Amino acid sequence: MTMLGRGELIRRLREGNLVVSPLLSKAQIGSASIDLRIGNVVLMVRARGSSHVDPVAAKRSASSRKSHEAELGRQQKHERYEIPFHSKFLVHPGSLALVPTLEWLQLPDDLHGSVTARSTWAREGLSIATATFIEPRYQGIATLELANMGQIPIALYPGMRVAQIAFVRVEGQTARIGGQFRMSFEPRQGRVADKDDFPFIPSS
Amino acid sequence: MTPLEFLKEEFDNVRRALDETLRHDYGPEQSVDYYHECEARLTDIDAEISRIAATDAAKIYTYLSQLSYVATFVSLIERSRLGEFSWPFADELRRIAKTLLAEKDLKGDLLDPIIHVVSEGQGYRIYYEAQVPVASSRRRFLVVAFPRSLKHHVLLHTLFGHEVGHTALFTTIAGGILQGEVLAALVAASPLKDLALMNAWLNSTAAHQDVKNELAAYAAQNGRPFVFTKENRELWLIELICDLFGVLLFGPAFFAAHRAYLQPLHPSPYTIKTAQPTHPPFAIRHKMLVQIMRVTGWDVPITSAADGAFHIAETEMLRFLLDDTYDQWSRFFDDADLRRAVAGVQKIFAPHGSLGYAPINPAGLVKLIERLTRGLPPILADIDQDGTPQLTDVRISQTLYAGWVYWIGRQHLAGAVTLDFLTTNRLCDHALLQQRAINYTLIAGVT
Repeated sequence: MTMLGRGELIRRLREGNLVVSPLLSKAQIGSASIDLRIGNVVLMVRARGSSHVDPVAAKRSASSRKSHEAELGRQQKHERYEIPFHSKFLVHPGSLALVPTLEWLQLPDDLHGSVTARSTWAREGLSIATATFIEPRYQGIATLELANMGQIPIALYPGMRVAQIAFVRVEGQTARIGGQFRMSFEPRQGRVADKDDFPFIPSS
Repeated sequence: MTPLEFLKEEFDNVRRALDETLRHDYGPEQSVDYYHECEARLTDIDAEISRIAATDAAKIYTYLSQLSYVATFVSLIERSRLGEFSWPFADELRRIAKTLLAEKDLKGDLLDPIIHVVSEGQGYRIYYEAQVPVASSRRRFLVVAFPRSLKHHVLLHTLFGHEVGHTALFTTIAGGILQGEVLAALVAASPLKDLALMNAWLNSTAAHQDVKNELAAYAAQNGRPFVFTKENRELWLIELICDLFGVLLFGPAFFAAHRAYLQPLHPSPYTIKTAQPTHPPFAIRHKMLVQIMRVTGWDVPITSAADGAFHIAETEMLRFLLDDTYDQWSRFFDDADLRRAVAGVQKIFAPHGSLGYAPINPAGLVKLIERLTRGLPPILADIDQDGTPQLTDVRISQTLYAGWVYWIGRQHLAGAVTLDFLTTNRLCDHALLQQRAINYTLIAGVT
């Protein structure tokens, strides 16, 4: 596994083979990573929206025709906020916020991205806990799953650098048909269970 | 309950409704001003109500009407959801409106309108308070209504240029120019010069058969021929001035939206809609925009043959705009008069620097289109060899020009992806958002 260093990152960015755009400061490119900024949408789980996450509901929804119930579940799960620049949003202890990056990403066949919190923010308790891998050929914003592991709320502003992405070279063929989040403009609720999981999930 | 008691009850209701609007989360800008303005108007009304005699039915009615008026604006607060329209575009409209629509008060201070953005089921609209009620604070409300279904369609949002024109007509500075030299240029040698000429134009043998049929149907139904009124003439002039204003504000992107959005709404481009002839036939408006493209020189591609497919795509887009097979009967203006009208509108934009359309440079345009062919938001943000960002301030009208070139000319553009119209719009919308971040950085000088 080879991680790309600053020189190779710059070379690929300039050639257009790798896209992380826009980069707004020279300091955004580290020795082996690129800082990512918060975008302008926040999804937070709506307290009254759903009682719990249950793959059974996902299976039911996938096997039925589009129904009011299924669509309601999808639409009601998160509270969606658009946060213009210079507006803050608070991440309270124990809460999870799905946030897009300001940057648009486009990965080539041979690179895999790995997103983590910047250490400065990690020390404040801000964690980017899940789904840190970005597959080859991905294009769109990256979704940051921000969780506050500290004791006090953290105020964040769109445009701030809170995460970083490192790239490693992948060997072999990487083409895959239809990932979940291709050309993604903002965070969306994922499918907690897919066809391959259904044999293991009861029908009701 | 007496009428006065009802008035007081209603006053309390409206004030309570205003407070309840703060339960919701709105955009950070303007909601405070909007709230305070409503509150100030209610305070003025409250002072008047306290002096009304229980028997003064006329005044009770007057203040009930004023309360209802304020209540309409209060209800609009709750209609504003940031997630239902493109706020980067809405922010640009705010900037334009604050710059162009500020009015001087009696002390000579400039007061900009309070701009409120909502989304609605109808088309692109701007509601502007031409007259502020007497018993009220001084700032006017301007409500921008986006069509809800077109949330991401920034390529069409340029149609707001026309709506901004409507509001500009009410202002002292911009309105003065529009109703002065611009209007004078448009009536100089056109059928709009006076009612007699306008009616003669309508009934001329050169009129399109659709119009002849329409007029015959009107006469058969009403037992008399259709004639234009003074009001019809004024409304047509206003609409044409607003089209002129829109195209000079947002450039060819406005024209493209005008054609894409309005053409399907006019099964016959010639008919005047005798029941309500508020707008000139589409053919007249289209022909005028084609002429404006020519007199401004925007009919010439920005790119050159050396730019290959990008040039072919841009040429295709211009062909889409300049395509004009409509009868000469719908040509209203001389080029010279239109030039004077264009100069008049540009005089409004001139003191404000980046307002108004100006073509981007060829390399910039190629880069923006090229990014769309790769499925990237069209911005100009490169890095140099040591990783220092090379950022460019691209105007919204330039970004959207590139978006239209991509969309109309996409079959000529070899690219990694082929975008549908929604995705093209979403990438452009995303670019507007990223452009805001770029501009903050440029202003701060922190690259």
